[in-house]
Amino acid sequence: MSIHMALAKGRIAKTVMTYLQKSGYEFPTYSEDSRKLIFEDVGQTIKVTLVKSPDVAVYVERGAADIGVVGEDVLIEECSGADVYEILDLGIGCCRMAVAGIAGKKVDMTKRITVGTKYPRIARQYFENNHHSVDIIKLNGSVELAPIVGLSDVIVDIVETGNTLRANGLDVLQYFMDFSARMICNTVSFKLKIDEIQQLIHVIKRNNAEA
Amino acid sequence: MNNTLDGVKMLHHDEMRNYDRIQSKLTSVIMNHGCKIIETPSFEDYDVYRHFFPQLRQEMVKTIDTDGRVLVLRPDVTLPLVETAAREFPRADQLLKFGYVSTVFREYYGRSTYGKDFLQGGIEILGDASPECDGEVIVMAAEILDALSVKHIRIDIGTVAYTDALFAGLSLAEEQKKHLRKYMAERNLVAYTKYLDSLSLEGVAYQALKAIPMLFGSYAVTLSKAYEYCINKEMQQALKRLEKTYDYILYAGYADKVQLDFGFASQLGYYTDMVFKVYVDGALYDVIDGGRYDTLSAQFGVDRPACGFGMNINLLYEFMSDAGLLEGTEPSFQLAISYSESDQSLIRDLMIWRRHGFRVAAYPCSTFIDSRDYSIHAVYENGIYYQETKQLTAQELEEQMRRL
Repeated sequence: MSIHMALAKGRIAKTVMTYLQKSGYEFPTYSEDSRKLIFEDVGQTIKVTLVKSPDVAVYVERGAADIGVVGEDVLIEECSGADVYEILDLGIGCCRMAVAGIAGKKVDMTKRITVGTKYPRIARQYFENNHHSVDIIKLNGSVELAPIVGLSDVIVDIVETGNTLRANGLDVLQYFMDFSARMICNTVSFKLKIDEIQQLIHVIKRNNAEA
Repeated sequence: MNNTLDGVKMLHHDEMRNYDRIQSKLTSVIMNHGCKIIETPSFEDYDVYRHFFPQLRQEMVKTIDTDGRVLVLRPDVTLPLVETAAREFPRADQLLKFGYVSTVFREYYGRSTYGKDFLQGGIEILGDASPECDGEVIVMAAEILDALSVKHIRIDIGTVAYTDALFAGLSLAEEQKKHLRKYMAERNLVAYTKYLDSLSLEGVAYQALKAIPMLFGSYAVTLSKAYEYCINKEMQQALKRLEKTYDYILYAGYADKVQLDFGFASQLGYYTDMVFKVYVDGALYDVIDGGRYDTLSAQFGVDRPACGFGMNINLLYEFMSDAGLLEGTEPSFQLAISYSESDQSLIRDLMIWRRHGFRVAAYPCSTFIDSRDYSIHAVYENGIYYQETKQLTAQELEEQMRRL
């Protein structure tokens, strides 16, 4: 039985494809900068679809794909209600969520503050858990601008190296959550294709160990 | 002004005919088991549902009654059925078998379909606590799919009593059990394993917990593994009971469809024992799910065991359509007549044909009739029927219809 996998475009897709290729799966039509979105390996055991990260869970939940690999941040932020099984922490694509503000400027957290972020759900959860009142402004990119132009007091965003923050005169106030890529699975495929799924998990674990 | 609502659509003639066929096969199977067909009210009390099914709170479609009370459009059938049964048939040992086909107002997703409501068919057997009753419920589900020519099915059976007994035997705080059960029910293996390993458990109990989310597969192998993980008598009893249910299914001829899944865990404590889902070949959703819920009726004052299932007929329809199991459209007219002028003789012929059981109608020549809507077409002029230039009598046209 062949298995259909949806991968979040970008870093995650590249890593998983490298793992598969290293483990002997050949995808003749795949290259990192190809514009093709669907690939099948020579042995016709795996079909891979590249989709935008928030769509991975949709594909898997509806059964258009058996399994998917996507960042945990996306799962929490955009797919919280998806009826899928989370079956493996791949340990790749790691990143941290942080609150950041203008360097050297104190933010009075006892008052209601304004937060600019691409992740309103995660941000709201964090501030609620810490008993802060906040107004959230959902932004779609260049979040670092928000405090500089006075749109918000702080931002909540993914921080990898911190270079972008520093370049824009911002500082991390608090790291509060770590994320990594997760493998999710359709609830029925999990049973019908468990052998194929375990084979894939094995491939990923072995490559992780080697990396 | 256009209708821009998602998940609402008109069903057309061919779809309605196919839905009718599915429904009539379903009712015939369940009536052969002695089920009485019922329909619960379209409106239900929001407060009652909020109490019993809090997880549906957001999903339910609410409306406001003339006196200001909040109502919901039938979010399920089981609850009102059990409630009514408790009121109208208060003898706790009375056997009651009900079946239904009703629209349920909840969202559903198929692979390429989405709806705000769906047609649900199902049964509930009240008053029989035996494992054989569980078997009959499962067999009924299989028989319905059989009757619809859906041959490749897989029935996954589990038992909540087994996991309940395991959790009861664990020396963990209630809060810890709640977390574990939540992750188990969601089959969030990442969070489940992480949480499980953070607890100081060891021995068979730990092995059992570790194994259960993946404890599924063929009957014999999975069952014998499940026996190895028993830490108390209650777990063994749950398996013994499951074996009796399996025997029933075996004797009924459906054992080859059965697999076990001990990972079905109910977070909400609605099911109390056997649970099952039916998958149809190639579809990545279950079309039937059900199980035993022995404690629900007691909450309405009559302590009576119950077991049943529900089937999403819309999802099944999608599957049958993909699998080519639906019947093609038949034209709505067997005979369509175009006339230049209608008269007594034409109307009399039409009435006779209809009395003979044919689908016929006549229209002025100026009316466009889609050729896909009829099997035979004729023109009527001054008391004579024509096909092309050929003259025909009413009897000859009737003969043509008979040959269709």
